[in-house]
Amino acid sequence: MSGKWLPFELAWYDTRIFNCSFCGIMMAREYWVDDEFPGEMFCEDKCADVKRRVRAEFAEAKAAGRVEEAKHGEETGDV
Amino acid sequence: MYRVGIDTGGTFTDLVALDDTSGHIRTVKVPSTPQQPAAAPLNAIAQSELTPDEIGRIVLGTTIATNARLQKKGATVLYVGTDGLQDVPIIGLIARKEAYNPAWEKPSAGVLRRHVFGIKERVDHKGNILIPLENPELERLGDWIDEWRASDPAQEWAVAVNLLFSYVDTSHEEAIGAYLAERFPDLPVSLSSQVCPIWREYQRSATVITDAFIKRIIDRFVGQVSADLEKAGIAAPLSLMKSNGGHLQAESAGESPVQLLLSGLAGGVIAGARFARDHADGNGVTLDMGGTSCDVGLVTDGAFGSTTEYEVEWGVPVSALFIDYTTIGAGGGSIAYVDVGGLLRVGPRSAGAEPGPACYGQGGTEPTVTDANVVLGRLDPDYFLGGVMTLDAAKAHEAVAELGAKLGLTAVETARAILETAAENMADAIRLMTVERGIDHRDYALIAFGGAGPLHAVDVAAPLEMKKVVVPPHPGLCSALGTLLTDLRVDRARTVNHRSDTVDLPTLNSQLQALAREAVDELRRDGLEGEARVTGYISMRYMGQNFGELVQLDTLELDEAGFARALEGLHSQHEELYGYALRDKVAEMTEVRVIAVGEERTDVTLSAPTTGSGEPQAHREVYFDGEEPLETPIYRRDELAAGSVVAGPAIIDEMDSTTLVPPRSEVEIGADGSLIVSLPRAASAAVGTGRLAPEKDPVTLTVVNNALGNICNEMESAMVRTAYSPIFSESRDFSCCLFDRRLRMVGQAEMNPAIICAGLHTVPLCVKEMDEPIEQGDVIVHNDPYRGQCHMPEHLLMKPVFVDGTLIGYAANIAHIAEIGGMAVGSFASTATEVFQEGLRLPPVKLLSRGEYVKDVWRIALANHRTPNTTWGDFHAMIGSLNTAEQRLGAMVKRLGVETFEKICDALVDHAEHWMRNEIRKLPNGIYKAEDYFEDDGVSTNRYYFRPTVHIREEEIVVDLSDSDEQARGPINVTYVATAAAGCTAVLQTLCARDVPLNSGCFKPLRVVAPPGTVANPVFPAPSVAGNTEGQPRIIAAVQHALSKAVPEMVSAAEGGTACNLLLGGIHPDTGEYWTHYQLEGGGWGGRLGKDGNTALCCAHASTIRATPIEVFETRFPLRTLKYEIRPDSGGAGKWRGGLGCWRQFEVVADAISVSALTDRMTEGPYGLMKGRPGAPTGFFVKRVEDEEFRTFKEIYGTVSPTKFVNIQLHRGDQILVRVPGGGGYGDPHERADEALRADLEDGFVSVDGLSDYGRDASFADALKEAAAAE
Repeated sequence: MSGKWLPFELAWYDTRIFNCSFCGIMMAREYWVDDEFPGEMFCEDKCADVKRRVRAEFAEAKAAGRVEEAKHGEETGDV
Repeated sequence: MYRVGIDTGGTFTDLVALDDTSGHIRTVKVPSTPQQPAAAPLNAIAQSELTPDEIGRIVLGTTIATNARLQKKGATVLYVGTDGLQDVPIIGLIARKEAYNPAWEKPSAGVLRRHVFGIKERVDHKGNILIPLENPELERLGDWIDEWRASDPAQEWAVAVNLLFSYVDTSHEEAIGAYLAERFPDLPVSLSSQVCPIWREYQRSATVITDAFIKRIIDRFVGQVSADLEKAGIAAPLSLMKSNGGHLQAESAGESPVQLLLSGLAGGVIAGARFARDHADGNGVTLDMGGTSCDVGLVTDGAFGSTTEYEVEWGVPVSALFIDYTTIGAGGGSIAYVDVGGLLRVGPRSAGAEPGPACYGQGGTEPTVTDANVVLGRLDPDYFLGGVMTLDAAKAHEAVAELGAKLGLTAVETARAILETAAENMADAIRLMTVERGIDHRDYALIAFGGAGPLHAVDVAAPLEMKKVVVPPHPGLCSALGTLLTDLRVDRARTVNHRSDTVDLPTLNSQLQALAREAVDELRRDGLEGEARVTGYISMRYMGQNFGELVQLDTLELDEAGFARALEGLHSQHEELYGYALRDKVAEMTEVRVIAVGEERTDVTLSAPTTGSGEPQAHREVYFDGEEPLETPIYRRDELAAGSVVAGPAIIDEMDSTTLVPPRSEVEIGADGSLIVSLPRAASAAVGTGRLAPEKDPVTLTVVNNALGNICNEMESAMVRTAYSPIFSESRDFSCCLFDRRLRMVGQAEMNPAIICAGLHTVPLCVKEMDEPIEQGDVIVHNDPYRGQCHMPEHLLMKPVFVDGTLIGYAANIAHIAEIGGMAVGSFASTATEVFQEGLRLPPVKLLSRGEYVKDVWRIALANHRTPNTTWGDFHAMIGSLNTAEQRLGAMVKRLGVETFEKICDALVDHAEHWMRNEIRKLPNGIYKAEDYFEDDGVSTNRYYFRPTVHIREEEIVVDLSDSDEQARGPINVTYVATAAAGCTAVLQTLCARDVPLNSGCFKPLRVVAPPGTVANPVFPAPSVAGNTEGQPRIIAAVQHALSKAVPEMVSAAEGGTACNLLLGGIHPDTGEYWTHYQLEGGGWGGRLGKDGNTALCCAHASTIRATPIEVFETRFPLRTLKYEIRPDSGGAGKWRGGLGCWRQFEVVADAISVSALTDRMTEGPYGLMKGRPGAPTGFFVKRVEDEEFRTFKEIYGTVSPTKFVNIQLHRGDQILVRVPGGGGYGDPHERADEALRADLEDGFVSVDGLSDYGRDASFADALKEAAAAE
């Protein structure tokens, strides 16, 4: 993991709010830029780690058919 | 002659006989006789050796009614309600307890649905008779009762009648009473207009049901005691203690037995009042601690307080007059244990009398408070109950040591921790009774009695910094003594309707005086011969509030000056309680009340021995607060003469109690024999084992954690009592929480999980975003959904808390403001396509700056809301709750020290995180997926899907909604915090998080991913008002459905998942002013492994939401409720059936109103699980006055969606029908037990047609009928 923290530079009358590119949480004052995901703003460095891990795990599980999916009515034959 | 006071409890019956001439007393203690309750009082009289001629009067206090209600052993109640509204006691409040416990069971108000009857009649809130009660209806009712009685003649039946607005017009209930009395002279009948003439129909129903439930028991008990007395030749009049602290003639007891519900508990507080007057200038806190519980009462200026609020169990209120006291589960038998999160807990579970504490040697193995006392040497194993019973000290040590091993403490440290935890629980109860009401308990003495009270009193007094403990003589007999110290007393109340700006004083005075006459007449019937003392009260509130303050009057003949004084009483009480008054607002008077007292009090002469050795009987090693035990002298109380002084440490034993006197204190023997313990200031040391740093000490952590929760509860109470909108005061759509200065949530009330989770994010963001310093006295507001609100109506009000100029944390209240402008009345813009249509959006700004109004912000807000007066009141209610928190949190941190508080917060947060990680480890690792959807978004007919993927890995969970649809054009989008709240709530409910501190730590191992631009996290300017109420339950259901692949036994089938949001408004015909109302409904929960789903309850994400009472609703708004009933067959079929939804039907009674609505799941009901069937779907329907039948709004008004529309104009006579969904079923319905299905049929939860879902046909119902006939 490598990257840097950057501040938001907003005028006092600018009421925009920014969200973490991955988890979506609101951010104030500063954000993390991760070298692996240029152009994305993260709420914290750990969030970029989670993105790396979750995406990889999901891809691997999906390929191996290990994602268990629940569907409405599957047990009663109403799907 | 002697006056005899008897207190008959569950274990012992105590008698105190007072010699009228000398004032001296004699005492008797005999075992109670639960199988023949009337026998014990006679046994006690027999043992007193009084002759029949010596007895002048008998006053009896009894727990027979309390126990009957708690143990549910009373009559079978047949309930009669207004037709269409007869299910009121079945539906209840729709609120739930234990927000994260999916196995929680809704309590019963005491009546089965098969036993409710709707009678055709109707009265409105002004007393107009809309549908007269006709004779054929009375006959129909009589026939129905006849059928039930004939079905089971051996059953004890009783009838409870509760018609809508019976407190305004009593004639229909009286007609029913008269008819039933004639037709069924032996059948007990309770009328709500007589038992509790108050508004709020559910509370009244629960009260009148309780009255009917215990009527026969009280009648039989009183009849038997009277007959036995007569047989014994005792002609003295018999009175019974009332819950309000007065007493009444035995002959009148059966008229309104609910008045005797707490008869056996009132005596203790009354006795305590006597000792508070004698030894503490009239100011005392009574502590009556027995084997299983502890009752705490308050005496101020020599008098005890009264309350009209009591709950038999959570959610089942009884509205009658009670001595104001509180009970907590702390007694000698309370069991100590380590909870799942590793914190020490004591009670409320009790070892009872059998097997009892481990030291009883009767098979108990769990450590109790009594065991801890034995370990510390505070109880003498050879002199327990005066030597009647020997305790096994080795077993006590063994049990306590075993617990200590789990905590890393020695047996002695553990025992001390147990006692301190129990003491802190009691101290917290005292704080709630005192500090919450603006009373400084440090100016009060602690009056300790009951078998265990004197042993624990100093431990309770110390953390409260109370300086004096009084232990009355015969502490185990105080309740019996109290019965002799009572007056004849009658409390009467009536609902009235006056405004301060238009008050008609002659009418008000005549209402007060009529009530006074009634009360005095009743006193005369109860035997009063002399003069009565009558005090008047008016319940007053600011116009728009829904709970009043009881203001005492100085006269029953009010002139303008007297009325002005009463009004000032409201302002000053409000100011004292909530930190502000609204002197320029109109006040409303809703109830007049009188208390009439016939003085009968007799001075009891109590005295200590004039001589006595004053020498200790023995010495033994006793542990106090040091590491080593102290050689402590043991005294017998009857050897201590009046005036003598004993220095601590000391133990004073007597037959039924033991008093602990700690080092550095002393006890003086009063002339009346009371032990008066003076505590040194040093005794007010901080809690804890002493050996460990506070942040490592389980006792300190428990105490602080409880205190943080209690502060939030106090915030809740202040909010409810002062809010203007029914959405707060009745529906309770808000949450209160506390943050430390590092912006971690450290305390929350057990309220709405959705809002709590929002607070986790929005408070820190708000603080970080503020562009100017946050100072003492500031209050910050914001409702920006892009900045951490669940949706626009939710407003955060937040106040920093400072101690000696240092910021130590924040108090926050997030609440749903009912009207904030925008395109739709009630600000639920179900067809909005931009946030600008949803109302006024405020980024974080100050409402108060250093305690002063920031007037520009107020003016902007009020100018943009349709009901500014309501906003004004509701913002102030929120500010009042923040003031409460500021005061309480500040005081606690000051006591602990800022640094220590922070360390404790660190530990509590770590503790919660540790618990959470442990629980997650129990789940199988894997990736689980599911989906759920909105049927439309209000502006198009497109479906919108939420697709959570749940990653469980070791000790962390990620709920990833990245696969969800793009954000919708309509307002169904779920803001980030609402999505995060849903993800967390789903997981916490699956893990059944109950005992763990629900602070920031709990949420650390959970991460919710909701990429911007999706329906699970919209970006500006997408609307989102529906996302909170409807989207959250949809996400919770989807996450739990995914988790069903991992742990099917831990999740339930889907709940109804909607509050059927209905927004009503317009110009009120009575006032000409704008009104709006947000109506909520309770649906069915999903079935669970081993349990049916609960019926008619709020959604999982909104645990504290309550339905607005029909009587409040109709008094405030121009609609009439025609039907509010359980909806048969709405629960999904299953081995464990889904809970049922309801039907609600309104009629418009104004020329025009505006209706907006927001719900979903109109075509597909909540899903079933493990072969369970779906619950029935939801729906809104309308029938215009010219129509024959109900149709959807889409059919009549051409709305895009049948469930999401705004500003439909309805007119007088038009009707709305709300179809509230049921929950999904769990397990194969064919496997549902016959017994359960039979009960469903009898209660109308499943119809004969619905049997096919369970693989049965009509023959199943026929067989049931045949079996009943054969029986």
